[in-house]
Amino acid sequence: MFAYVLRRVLATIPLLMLTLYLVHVGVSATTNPLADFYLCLPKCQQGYDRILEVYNLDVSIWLRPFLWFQDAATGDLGFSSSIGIPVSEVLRVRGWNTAMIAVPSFIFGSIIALLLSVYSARRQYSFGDYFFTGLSFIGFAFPSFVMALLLQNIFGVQFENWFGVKPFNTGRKTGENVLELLRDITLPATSLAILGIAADSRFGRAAMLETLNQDYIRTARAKGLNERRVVWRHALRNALIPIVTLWALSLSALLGGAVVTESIFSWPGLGPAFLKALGEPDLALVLGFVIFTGVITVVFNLIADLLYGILDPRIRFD
Amino acid sequence: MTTLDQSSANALEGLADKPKSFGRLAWERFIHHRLAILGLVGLILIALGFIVGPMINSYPFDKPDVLSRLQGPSREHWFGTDEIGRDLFVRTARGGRYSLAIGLLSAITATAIGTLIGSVAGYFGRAVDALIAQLINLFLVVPALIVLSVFALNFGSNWWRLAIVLAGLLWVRIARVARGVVLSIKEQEYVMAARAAGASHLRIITRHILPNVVGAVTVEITLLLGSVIVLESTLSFLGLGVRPPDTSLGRLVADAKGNIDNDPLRVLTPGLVIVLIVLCVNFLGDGLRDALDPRARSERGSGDD
Amino acid sequence: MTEPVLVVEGLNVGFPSKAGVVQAVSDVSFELHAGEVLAVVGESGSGKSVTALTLMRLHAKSTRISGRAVFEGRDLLTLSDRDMRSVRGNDIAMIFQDPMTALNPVFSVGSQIIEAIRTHRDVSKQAARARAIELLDLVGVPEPRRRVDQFPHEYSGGMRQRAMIAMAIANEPKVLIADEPTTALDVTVQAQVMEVLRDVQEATGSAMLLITHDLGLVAGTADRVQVMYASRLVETGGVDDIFYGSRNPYTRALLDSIPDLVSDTDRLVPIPGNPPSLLSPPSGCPFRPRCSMATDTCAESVPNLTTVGDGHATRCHHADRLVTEGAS
Repeated sequence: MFAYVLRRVLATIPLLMLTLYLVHVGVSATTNPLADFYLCLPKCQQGYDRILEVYNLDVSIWLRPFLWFQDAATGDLGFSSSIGIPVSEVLRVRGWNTAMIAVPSFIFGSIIALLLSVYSARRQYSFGDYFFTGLSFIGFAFPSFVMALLLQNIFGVQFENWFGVKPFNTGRKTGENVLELLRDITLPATSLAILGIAADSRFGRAAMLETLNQDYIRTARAKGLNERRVVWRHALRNALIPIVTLWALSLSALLGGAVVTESIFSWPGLGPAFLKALGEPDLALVLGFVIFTGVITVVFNLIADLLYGILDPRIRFD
Repeated sequence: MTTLDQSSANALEGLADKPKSFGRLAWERFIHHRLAILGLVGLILIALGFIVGPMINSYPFDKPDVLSRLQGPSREHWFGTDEIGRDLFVRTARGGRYSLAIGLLSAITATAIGTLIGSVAGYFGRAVDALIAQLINLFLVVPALIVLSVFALNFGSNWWRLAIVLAGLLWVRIARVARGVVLSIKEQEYVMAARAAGASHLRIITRHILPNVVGAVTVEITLLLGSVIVLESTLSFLGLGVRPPDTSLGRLVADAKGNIDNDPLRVLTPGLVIVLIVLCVNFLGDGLRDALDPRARSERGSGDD
Repeated sequence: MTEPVLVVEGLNVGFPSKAGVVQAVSDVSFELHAGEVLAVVGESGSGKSVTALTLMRLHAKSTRISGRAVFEGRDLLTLSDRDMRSVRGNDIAMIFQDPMTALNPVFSVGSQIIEAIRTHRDVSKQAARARAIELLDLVGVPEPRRRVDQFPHEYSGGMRQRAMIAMAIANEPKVLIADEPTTALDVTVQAQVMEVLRDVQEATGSAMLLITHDLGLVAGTADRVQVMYASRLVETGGVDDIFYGSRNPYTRALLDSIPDLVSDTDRLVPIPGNPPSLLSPPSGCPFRPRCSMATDTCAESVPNLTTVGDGHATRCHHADRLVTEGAS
């Protein structure tokens, strides 16, 4: 078992390095922090030179990632020109905020999706099944910004018009205490969660159905097990295998969706910072952010891989 | 012992009709999939609405008419007007045309690249495949929106450039499917038999492999189309996608966002049009999947994704 | 003859579909006695597996069932879910065809046997585990102490089927239903597994319903045989009666189609044609289109199951024409 874990971790590291390398080259190729300086030369020569040095722009684009790696290894991710603090600081503070909406959204969303999948698969063709399947079809068709805007409008202005009060905060983080914090994160987290549930439950339902059609489920029933045990122990355990890998993928989608949702709800997370950095361009922050996402994605895929090994004994032993 | 004549004569009574071809079976399955037909019809109607509607409506999209600003839907202005009096239906239709065009171009490009690379990887196997497979996995794993944000901003200044950028990332979805199909078919006995009989690579590819690839890829294309439309509209909403004079549904939402509290309809209409389009595309994709690969489904109704 | 353990009367099973009702089992009646092996023989689609699954009530909810299946004074077909669950794996156990897919791949073989035990018996985990090891040993799985914690994919095909048998007999069922137990196995392994099955059945004294399409298996194992065709029972009798004195053209044709190592023929003799559609069966006797003895009478009505000897019955209008060679 330990050997399997070790193997997976070792296999991931090159992938991670390659990802980071490609991302760095890609971003460097598409952004030019010197753009603003061309018009003011030769007066702003000093500023020009400074930028040149900070971003190693005199070095070949193919070698720059290594210089970046060198710095990153010591914790130095550069300085964000758009915000004015070190990039690592930005990631830490903003990242925490993003986690505040992303983590609950992911956890609740995944659990609800799982429950819906089991329910739908067990009661196939029932009204409930068609209802939830229909809902998830519709939810799946929503881009994250439409969902966010819809929720913001309904629970914001409209709600206020009808009931005179806004139950949840629709913008700008206020939260000093826990209660206010909950009010703040509810709408953005729900917006993200709904999209996640729509996507996950479609997949989960299919996975459960396929599992329930397997021979070993028939054997379990033939042994005299009650239906609850058959579904929750025998079937789910097998269906979780593909579902867990889906979770790793949906995390990527979640990060993307978070960017949009945060800007709509004026939530001070990584999203708005990233968008601002793109506009400047604040190359250090853009790089830092994209690489941060890359690391998270690869790490989560690794976790999914490991979970896969834990769940499926057939994989463990090859 | 039995006499063969009598029993053979009796047996011939039970002969079935000539079996139907795969294409015909697939077509029949597709026609019966009500949601798919709904989706197809829906898409056609929407596209027609975008193209033909403005001709009927005849208000130009960029002509301000301050006297009729901020009206709700009416007989003259079907979707109402914006804050400087421009007809919203025509603007939405125009945005919709761009959105569809970008989606289609992107899907076609991604399909061309993806099918080629995926098939090559699957067919030639080993080193080539290992390399391409790793690349595909890498591309699949990264958060699409974030990567696209970076590239779209700097490459995609007009609508078709944007489409290419989108295709540049999303081709991997098609490649993955194509590769999977080719890999599984390659191992089938009828391919080995053809090879043993001396068929050339080209013949094997065109006769045996491509027809099967077409089915799976077609299904994936519809899913891809949905994703492209969502991604493009999101990028445009964030200001990273199309730029004036081009527009798209996402951009229209962004334009209207400022006034959302007073005029939510202006914001939500293009947004809901997007949802409608994606919904139709998904229905269509479901029907196609059901028609072309019924084994993949274990139930009626919706499929997986 | 001992008391019948299971009495099935007039069983009909139909599957509603878009095109109509597929009648998989029509008017099947039989008795199963303690300690005997009753083989149910037929082609794919004859209804033999459906009969077994229906008795275990493992059918889909939409299935249309009529008839009775009396076991220990109760009609299995009308039992509540709860009562049926206490019968399954306990009084009546079933072994399925493909052991690779019939065992849950994510749980160890031992835990699945233990589960079978503890569902019906109030014993500790340790006791159940000891019993599981005992059972694995009984069915001939080598190194049972080590194997009990292994996963199904670590077992060979034959071993897996042995494990399935172990799981089925864990609670000493009165009836053992074996649905094509060796079809998915290599030929060399088939004989071994059949031997295990026979030994186990003799040791526990349970009745066995052996479902198969392989007449060779039947000859060596069964006490009585019933032949099914197109959802109906077409002949039933002792194994000798069926093999040497069959009074049914379908059974005869089946027997004739078995390749014979001894006699000097150079052609295999298949049964011409195909089994009829169960959706819209032909009028009269279902075997008529393929029968060499068919006459107009055969097209008019379905023949009844008539007794032609001691414990021997056949469903054929012209059974009297088949009294040539053999007994009865």
